[in-house]
Amino acid sequence: MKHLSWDEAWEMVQGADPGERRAHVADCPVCGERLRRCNDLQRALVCALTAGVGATGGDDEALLAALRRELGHPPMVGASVAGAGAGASVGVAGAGAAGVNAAGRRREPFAGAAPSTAPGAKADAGPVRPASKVSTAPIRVSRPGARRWVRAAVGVGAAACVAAGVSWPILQGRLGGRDLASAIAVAIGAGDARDAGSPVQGGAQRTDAGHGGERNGAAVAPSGEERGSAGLPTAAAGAPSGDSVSPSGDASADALPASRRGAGFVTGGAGHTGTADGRGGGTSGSEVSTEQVSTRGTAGHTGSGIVHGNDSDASGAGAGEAGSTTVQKPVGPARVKGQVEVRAADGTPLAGATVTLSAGGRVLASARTQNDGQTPVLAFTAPADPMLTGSDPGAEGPGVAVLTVQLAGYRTAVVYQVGLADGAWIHPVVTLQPAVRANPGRVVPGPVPGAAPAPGWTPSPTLQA
Amino acid sequence: MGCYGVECHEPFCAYGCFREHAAMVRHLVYHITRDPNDVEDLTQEIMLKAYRSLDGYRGGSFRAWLARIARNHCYDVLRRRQTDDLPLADEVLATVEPGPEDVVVWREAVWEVAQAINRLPPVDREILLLRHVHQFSYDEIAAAVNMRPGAVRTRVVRARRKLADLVDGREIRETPELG
Repeated sequence: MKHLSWDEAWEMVQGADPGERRAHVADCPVCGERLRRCNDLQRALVCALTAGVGATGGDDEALLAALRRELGHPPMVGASVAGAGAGASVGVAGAGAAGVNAAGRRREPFAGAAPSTAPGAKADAGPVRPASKVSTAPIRVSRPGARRWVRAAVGVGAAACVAAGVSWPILQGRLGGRDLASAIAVAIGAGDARDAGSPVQGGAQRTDAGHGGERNGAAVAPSGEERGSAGLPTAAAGAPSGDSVSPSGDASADALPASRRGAGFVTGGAGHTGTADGRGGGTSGSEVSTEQVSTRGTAGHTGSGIVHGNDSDASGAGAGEAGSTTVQKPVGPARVKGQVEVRAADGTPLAGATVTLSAGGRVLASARTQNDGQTPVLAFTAPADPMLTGSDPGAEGPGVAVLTVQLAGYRTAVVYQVGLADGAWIHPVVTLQPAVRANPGRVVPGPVPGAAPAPGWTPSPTLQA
Repeated sequence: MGCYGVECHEPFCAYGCFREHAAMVRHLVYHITRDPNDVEDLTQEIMLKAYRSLDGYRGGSFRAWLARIARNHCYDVLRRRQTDDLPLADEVLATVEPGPEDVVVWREAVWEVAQAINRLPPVDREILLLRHVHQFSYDEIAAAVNMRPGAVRTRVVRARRKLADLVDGREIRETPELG
């Protein structure tokens, strides 16, 4: 039998599966080598072409919201989509509060990074709007460039304020041990949030608890409101009755119990703000890191998208008592472990699929799936998302990676924007779709201008954009 | 083609998953404009434009239709700005450049491939992107870039050959001479 041509090898790599060739390839070292090279090149190509994932990773929710706003559609309720990549259905479990919401998608980088103020509400304030529901509210589409400029401008202004000795209580309440610019950036990010119009008191920006739950746990999580003022009514928190502002409970997805890891999607943390129960009120002008919270209470649960702030009582109380404890989150890239599971459309586990996690053109980890469709445990370090860290390379932010799954006979699945929290355990499940032949029919050239069309030629049913 | 996940009901869902389309459009915009700051804005404009002109969609591959709109829009924008093809943004190059920790050999190959891709004509880059990342068929690419499928195929083959030669050359350079 003739050896595979380079083209045929490429087509096989891309999913075409000529059955009669398969046995030949298995036995022929020449074709096997050719196939191996094509495989390597394909992976390198995907890595190189998706190297700008940090730059091109956008916010689908914001885009959808803008579309709906523009087109007059009502917000979707409870919509959730499992699927981020071509031909892939993916849920990332345990990917953490860092930017993965209930639908496994990354969130607006700074939106709602500000803490929730759950004024005086009891910590178990009840169900919170599900993330998917929250996310559909129209918001301003993210504009990375504009944001960067604004961030820089405000940073300069704030530095001037500090130099001039001007007190800025709003910021001071947030600053703690952090640099001014990043605190302001968070404040601005909060302004991007859907609830941007909500009143601000004592520097704490109101966000729905559900929003807070979707937030990047790496963001500033100042808890205290300096004045411990009466809180703001939030949809989830109930009537304002108390005193303190709690740390956002959004960092807790890292602490998701193992039983939920396999559930598919990350809830983005608990949404709910562990509200201090009054003990810390008024005096808890403290900054409690999200990590601290996450060790005390767990994120709310989500089965159907509803987030309960069930465990926040402890965290809230802890927050209230925490006084002036300041814990810095580690900065830099995210160290992640996990397994990737690959399945066919009918749910059958697929063995032998090549799984590659890459970011910025680098391969972070690569493995093949075993008989159960799962890779061995992968441990890798994902670089921080450049769009989230922005001009501050030391800023906290989730890691990003591109997950590529290849298997002969199936369409290669490429999943973008896997938001990865530091220390998270991920368990994405990728569903591969069967390959279609790249060029199923004979290609008949179109007519030469002025000549009669070739027999069999029909005008392409395309595209009058 | 519907969503691969559970019910979605998003715009465009009748024509495939919105998020897949958005990812494709973002990549295309990025590779055409080379300006990461423009990606979100242009993507939004393209999606809106596509949604408004859904009546003009006359069958065939929806994503090819969308890709064509995206290309046209990007080139319109570039033409208005009268900017040349910009080099890849510094921050992206910085992430691709191999660092000292990159001991795995083929990471260098990735870097070299990235450089080779940058040297390709813009249309070839787009074609490779659509073909190798977004799994477009030749017919779909042809519809998107307004070429004949045969021409697309030829370009793909040539681009692949360039890349293969590049990697082969590197392997040859790295192979120690025996004897």
